[in-house]
Amino acid sequence: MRVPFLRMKEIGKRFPGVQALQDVTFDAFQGEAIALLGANGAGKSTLMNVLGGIISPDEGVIQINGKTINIKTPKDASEIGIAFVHQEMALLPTMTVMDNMFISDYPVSMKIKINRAIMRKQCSEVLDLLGCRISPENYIRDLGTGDRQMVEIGRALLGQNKIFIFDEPTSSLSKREKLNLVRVIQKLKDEGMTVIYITHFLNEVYEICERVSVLRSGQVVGGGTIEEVQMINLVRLMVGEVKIEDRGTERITSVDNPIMEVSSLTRKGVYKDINFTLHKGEILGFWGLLGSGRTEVARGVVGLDPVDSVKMKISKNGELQPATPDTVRRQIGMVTEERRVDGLFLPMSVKRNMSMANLNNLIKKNSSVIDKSKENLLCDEFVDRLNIQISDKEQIVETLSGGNQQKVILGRWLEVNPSILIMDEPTRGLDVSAKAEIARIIVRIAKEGTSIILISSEIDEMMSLCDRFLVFNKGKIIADLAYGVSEDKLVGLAAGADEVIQEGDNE
Amino acid sequence: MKFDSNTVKLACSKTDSIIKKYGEKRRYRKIVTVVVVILIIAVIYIFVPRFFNPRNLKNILVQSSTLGLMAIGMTLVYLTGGMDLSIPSVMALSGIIGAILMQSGVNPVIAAIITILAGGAVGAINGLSVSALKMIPFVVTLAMMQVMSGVSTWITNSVSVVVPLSYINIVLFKIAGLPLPVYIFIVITAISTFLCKSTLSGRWLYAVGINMNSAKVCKIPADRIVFFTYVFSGSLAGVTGILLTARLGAAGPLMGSSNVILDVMSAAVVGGVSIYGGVGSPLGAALGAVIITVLNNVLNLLRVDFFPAQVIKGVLIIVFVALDSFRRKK
Repeated sequence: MRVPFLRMKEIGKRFPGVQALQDVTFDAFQGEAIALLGANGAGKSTLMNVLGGIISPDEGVIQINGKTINIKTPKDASEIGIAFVHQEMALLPTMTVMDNMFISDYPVSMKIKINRAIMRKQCSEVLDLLGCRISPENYIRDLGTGDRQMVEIGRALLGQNKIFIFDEPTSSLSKREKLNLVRVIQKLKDEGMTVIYITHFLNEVYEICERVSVLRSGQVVGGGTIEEVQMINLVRLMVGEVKIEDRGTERITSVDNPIMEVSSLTRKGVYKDINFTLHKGEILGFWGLLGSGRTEVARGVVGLDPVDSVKMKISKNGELQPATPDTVRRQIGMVTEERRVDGLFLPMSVKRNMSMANLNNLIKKNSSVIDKSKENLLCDEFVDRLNIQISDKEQIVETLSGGNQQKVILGRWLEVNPSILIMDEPTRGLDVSAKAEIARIIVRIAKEGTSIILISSEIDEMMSLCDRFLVFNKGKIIADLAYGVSEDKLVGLAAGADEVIQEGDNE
Repeated sequence: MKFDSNTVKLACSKTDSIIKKYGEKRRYRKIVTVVVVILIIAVIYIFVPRFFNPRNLKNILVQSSTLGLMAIGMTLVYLTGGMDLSIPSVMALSGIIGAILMQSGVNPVIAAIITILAGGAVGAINGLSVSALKMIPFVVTLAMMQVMSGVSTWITNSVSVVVPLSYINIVLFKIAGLPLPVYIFIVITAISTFLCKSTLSGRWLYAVGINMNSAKVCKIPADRIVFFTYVFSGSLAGVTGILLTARLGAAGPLMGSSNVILDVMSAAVVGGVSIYGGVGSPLGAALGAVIITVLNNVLNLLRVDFFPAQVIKGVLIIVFVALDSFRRKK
C-alpha cells in the first residue's frame, strides 16, 4: 500500500446541535485526482475548511507524507501548498484580473515597488494555460461568471502549490472552459500534484478523477477507485439507504381536489414557464440536483424572491379560481433551506420563535396587544404535539439541537395552519432519529389535509414520502411522475443534467 | 438507542448551565446599568454635594425629558437595526417652524401640532429612503442632518425666534411642582415601552432587528415597520422641539447642534440598547437619558470645560459599544 501524500485522519467536528464530521479519514495521492462527493450538508465543505485552516477540528490529525502537520490558519495552509478554488467568488470586483491573482503575494522589486511587469507576464501565462481569452488588465466587474471562475482557478495555479481543491468549479463554466479545465487538471496530475475535486456532476468524476470518496451526514460512507464503484452506486451512497417513515402505498392519487395552480411562473435566467397543480393533502416532491431550480421556484411561489411573471389560482369552495399572488401567498407557509439564516430568530425564545408567523391571530380583540396567555397555550400545545425537547419555552432557540430547532419552525407554521406548506430540505443536517421524526410529522400534517411541497436531496426520503414528483432540470420541469416511479428513473432524470453544462451566462 | 441515567443527568446539567448562561447574559446588561448608576451617585455624593440640592434635581429631570424623548425615538430606530442622526436637527427646525408660526399670530396649539407634523414628515422622508429605496440609514440621516441644520440657519439668519409668554406658560405648566415636560416624558416612555413589549408592532420591531430574512419568511411587513420607526423618531423630535423651545423661550438652529446627537446616542447605548438591532427598550433609553443628563450636570458643577467633557462622553460611548460588541461575539 502506498503512503498517501495527504491524509486527514479520524477528523471530528461538532457544531452546536450538529455533528458535522465524525471519524472521517480521507487520503489523497500525488499525481491523482480524488472526487469528494456528498449531498448538501454532508460535510464536504467542513472537511475542506479543516484542510484550509478555516475551521479547527475537535479531533483528528492531518498528515503530509506520513508526517503530522499543524494547520491552524489559512496562512498555514497556503504555506504548505494547499490551494483552494472557491465556489463562491472571493474576488474583488473593482480590481484587475492580475491584482486579484497576486493579491496575497505581490511580486515586489527593491522591497517596496510592486512589479507589474512580472505580474502581467505570469498572469498572461496562466490565462493562456487555461485557454482564457481575457486580459490581465481587465476589471473583474466586467467579466462573466465563467471567466471569474477561471481567474479563481488561475490564482491557485500561480504559487508553489501541491494540493489543489476545486469546489464545484464547472457549475458556472461553458463547455469550452470546462474542456480547458479538464486539460489543466490533467497537466497538474502529470506534474505530480494532488487534486481534490468536489462536484455534483457524476460524469465529471469519471472524466477527471482516479478515486472517489463519499460523505454522508458527516461520515465516510464509501469510496475507492472509480473502477470499483459504479455511477449508480455513487448516487445511492450519496443519497442514503436509511429507510425512514414509509407511507407504504397509501398515497394520494386523486386529481379531483386541486388546491392551488401555478402557471407561467418565470424568473429570467433562473427558471422559465413553470406550471403545476397542487392537490389537497398531497405531498408533491420537487426533485432535481442543486441549481436545477427546485429551491428557486419554491421561493418564487411564496414571493421571497421577485418573479418576472406568474399566474395563480386558489381553491375557493372546491373550485379553482384566479387570485392575486398576494392572496395565494397568504395561505402558504415556508420552511426554508437554511434555518439559521432565514428561518429562526436565534437569540429569541422558543415561544417567540413559534408565534412569530401567527401574531395576527394572537392579539386581543379590537387592539394590537398580544394575548400572552393564548400565546403560551398554543406554544405548549405544539411543543407537546411535536415532542420538542426543551426545558422551558423561554429557552433561547440558539441553544437547541438541529432537530428541535427544525421542530420549532414546523410548530411555527402549524400554529398558523396554512393550507399549503413548502418545505425545503427540512431534514438537512439532522441525525437519523430526528430525520425520521420530522418525516413522521410531515406525513401527519398531510393526512390532516395540508398540501405539502417537499424538496430534499435524499432520494429515499423523497421516495418514501411523496405522492408525486416534479423533476427539475436547468430551470424547467422535465417530468411529472406519480408515486410508483422507480428510484433509478428519478436519479437518471436528475443526473441528465450531467450531459449539459450550463452555457456561459454572460450577464 | 439506550440511555443510562448518568448520560441523561449529564445532558440535563449541561442544558441547565447553557440556559443559566443565557439568562445571565440578559441580566448582565441591566446589572451594568445599575452598577454605573450607583457608582455615579457615590462619586457625586463625595465630590459634588451641591448636586443634591432639590432645585438642581428638578432641573435634571426637566433636562432629561427632552434628551429622553429623542433617545426613545432613536431606540425604536436602533431596534430595527437602523440609525437616525437627524433627530436633533429635525427637532431644531420643527421648533423654529412652530416659533415662526406663533410670531405670525397662529394659535399656539395649532402651531404645536404643526411642529410635530413637520418632524414626522422629515421622518417619513428618512423612512422612505431607507425602507423603499434601500439606502443606508447612516448616510441618509447624516445628509438629512446637514440639510435640516442648513435650512434652520438659513430661515432664521442665525437669530433665535422668540416665542410668546402665553405659550411658555402653557408648555411649562406645573403640576405638583414639576413642569409638564417631565410628565410628557414619563407618559411617552410608558406608552412606547408598552408598544415595544406587548403589542404586535413591537414584536415585529424586534424580529426585524434580529433577522430581517426570517422576518420576511414569517410574512412580517418589515419595510412598513422600518418606515414607521423613522416617522416615530421624527415626530418625537417635533415634540421635543415644542418642549425645548418653551424652556429656552426661543427657537434657534443651535438647539440641534451636532453634539446633541452624541448625547442622544449615549443615552440609548448606556440604557442598554444595542446599535446592532433587536436588543433594548425605550425604558432603558429613558434611564440612559437621565444618566447622561446627570453626567453633564456633574461635569458642569465640577467646572469641567466643554471640550474635556466631550472627550469623557465620547469615551463613554466607545466603552458601551465595545461591551455590546463583545457580548455579541460571545
